[in-house]
Amino acid sequence: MPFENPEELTPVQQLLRMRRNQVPSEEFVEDFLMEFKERQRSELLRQSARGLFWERWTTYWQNRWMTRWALAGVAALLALGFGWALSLKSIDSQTGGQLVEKGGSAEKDLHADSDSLFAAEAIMIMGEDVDGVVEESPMLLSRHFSGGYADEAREVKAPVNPEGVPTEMSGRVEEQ
Amino acid sequence: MSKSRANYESSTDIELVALAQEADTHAFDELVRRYTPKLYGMIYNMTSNREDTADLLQDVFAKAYRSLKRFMGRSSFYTWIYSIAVNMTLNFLKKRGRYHKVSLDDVDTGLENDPEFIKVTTANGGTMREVHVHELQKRLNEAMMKLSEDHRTAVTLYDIQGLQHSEISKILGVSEGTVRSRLFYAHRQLQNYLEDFIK
Repeated sequence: MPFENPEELTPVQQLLRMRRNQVPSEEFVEDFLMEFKERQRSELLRQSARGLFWERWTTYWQNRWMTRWALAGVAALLALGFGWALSLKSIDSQTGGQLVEKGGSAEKDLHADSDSLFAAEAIMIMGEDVDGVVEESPMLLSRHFSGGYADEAREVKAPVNPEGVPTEMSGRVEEQ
Repeated sequence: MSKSRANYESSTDIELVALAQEADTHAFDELVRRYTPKLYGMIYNMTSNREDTADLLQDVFAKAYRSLKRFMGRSSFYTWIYSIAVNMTLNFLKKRGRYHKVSLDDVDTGLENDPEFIKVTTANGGTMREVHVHELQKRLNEAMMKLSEDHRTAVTLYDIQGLQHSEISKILGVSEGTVRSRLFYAHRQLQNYLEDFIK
């Protein structure tokens, strides 16, 4: 007991010490115990399965400081890892987009290249045409009737005798 | 085979705790019987309200019962159950303080015939002898409620419950020096509040 000599106590301490004698009666204690048991039973009936599970879960972890801190640490690390993985994924998706964009531009480049190639070829073809058109001259009906054009081609391709007369003609002439 | 009530009464706290941990509810009943008077006094002197005290004590034992499986016996059951009771009472006082002021009209009775009380009043003579017992108890209650919760807890555990400084430091989780310091300031404050009655 803290007080060995009551004479040394101050009046306030003496007054406080008197309260030690204020204890509930034995009857009160028995009634209290009965009420405690009834309350426990009624709580069990009132609580839902989920409530009971939650209460037991929280009570289980309440005084396990070390385990709780360790679990909190693990949870924090998992959260960090998850966040890191998410950030990596988002970076990947961004770079993937860039790649797609790059792919698109490459495609565009390819199209542009093919367009330019096509254009170059077209220019070349046009150039040939242009070259062909340069020789163009007005077509005269009179010249056609006078044996021009088709005959001219035949005349060019047909073997010519030394006199300048085509051989076919000369052959026909010879037959005549 | 179940034990008789006398067997439980003669068992130590540790034995009762071990039995209760093995689902012997009678052993826990005996612990409730053993600690109800002490804890009731402690909670009542901190709350100054009988209904609150009874409700709170029910909650304290309910929590102790739920947590009993995890009691490893590193400290005594006495210290353990007191820690639960003090923490729950302090939490309760914090919640109550947020919502309403406590009425100090709830005056204890039963001290009028206490021989020790009569001895103290006559020993100090003069003013105290003339003060009505009810009035003095009421004043003491009011003075106690004016103390901070930490100071009130220290006074309750030391002066009223009769615990040692070392036990209080374990229960409250503070150093013995802190306990002594709180007691010193609490006694001085009480002396100031009651100086008109105690001369």
